[in-house]
Amino acid sequence: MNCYQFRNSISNFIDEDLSFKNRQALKSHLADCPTCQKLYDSMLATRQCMRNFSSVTVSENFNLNLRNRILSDRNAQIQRSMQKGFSLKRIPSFAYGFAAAIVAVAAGFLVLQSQSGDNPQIAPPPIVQQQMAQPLVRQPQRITPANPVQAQPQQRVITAQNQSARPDTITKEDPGHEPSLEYKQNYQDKIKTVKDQQ
Amino acid sequence: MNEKYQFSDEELISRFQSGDEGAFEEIVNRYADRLMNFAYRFVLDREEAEDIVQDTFLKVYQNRHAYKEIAKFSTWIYTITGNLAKTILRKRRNRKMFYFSRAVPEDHDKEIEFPSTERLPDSKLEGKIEEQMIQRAIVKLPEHFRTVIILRDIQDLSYEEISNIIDAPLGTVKSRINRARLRLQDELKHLRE
Repeated sequence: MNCYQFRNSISNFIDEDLSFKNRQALKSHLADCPTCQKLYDSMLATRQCMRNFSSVTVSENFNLNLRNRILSDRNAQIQRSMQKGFSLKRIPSFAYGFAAAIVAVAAGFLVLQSQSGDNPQIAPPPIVQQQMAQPLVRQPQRITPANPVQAQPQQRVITAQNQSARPDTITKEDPGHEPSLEYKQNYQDKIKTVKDQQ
Repeated sequence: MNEKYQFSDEELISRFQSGDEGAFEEIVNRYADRLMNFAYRFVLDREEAEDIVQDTFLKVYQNRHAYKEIAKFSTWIYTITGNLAKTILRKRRNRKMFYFSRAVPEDHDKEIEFPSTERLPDSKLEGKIEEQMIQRAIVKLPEHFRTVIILRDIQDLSYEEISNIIDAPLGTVKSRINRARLRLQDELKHLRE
């Protein structure tokens, strides 16, 4: 063992944290090396002195001061929890960001909606288109020989073939929907006309 | 250490966690002087050391539920004191740098405070002088060396406890203690010359 190895292990040697073999090696080096012996003696003496350092104790008022500090800390905590009223400091910072995001989304939605109302190019949904295509009130149509049915193919004629398109079938499908009185009268007039023709 | 007490430290903190304030008082009585010694050797100022110990107990009181019985209570409380002491040293260093940068004579840098050596018998006087010299040398050590040497040679804690307190592997602790002791010898040599 050389001095470098000894210096690396001197602390473990003092604390008796070495194997028997290593301990013997260090001991034999100590017997041969006065420099390492001097270092070892000095380190041992320092350690002994440190163990006997005069004890530093807390002051007489330590416990009283500590109790007061604990009490004042507890009071401060109670005051904080009892504090009423709105304070911006109590709102967590992420809440501001979240609120700003909600406002931005709502504003965007409103702007888009207002634009869609103004723009005629944007077509209404298909169901609305269907409702718009069907006239709410149908004018009674007299079918006379002078005005044959074939001459007006665009007009809807209630015949036996297109009975399914009659509004009463729609009424069956949609029990909440009641055909208006005027519509019923028109419908009866049309039946009369057809019967007269027959 | 706990053989002389009715309750172990861990039992006491457990009772305190359940609401027993008397257990906290017992903890204070057990640890006040030990922590005071540790803090004083670290910062070498009695007032600051006492503030550190007070802050330590206040933290223990406030964060009693943060302690889990996976580590020894002594390790936990020494860690708190050590961290507070390091904070004090850092503040002191910053204050020094502030005064240095302003090129103003530093009034706030306190002289190292040692117990009075007046009217002591010769043998005791020698011991006191030696103690002061070692203490001066300890203060000159870097913070990581100072911590381990105080914990090992003054507080007499085991390698395992030190390892838990400074949160370093056992091998690192052993080699650090060795280097700290060698460095302390170098400092003492300079002081004696």
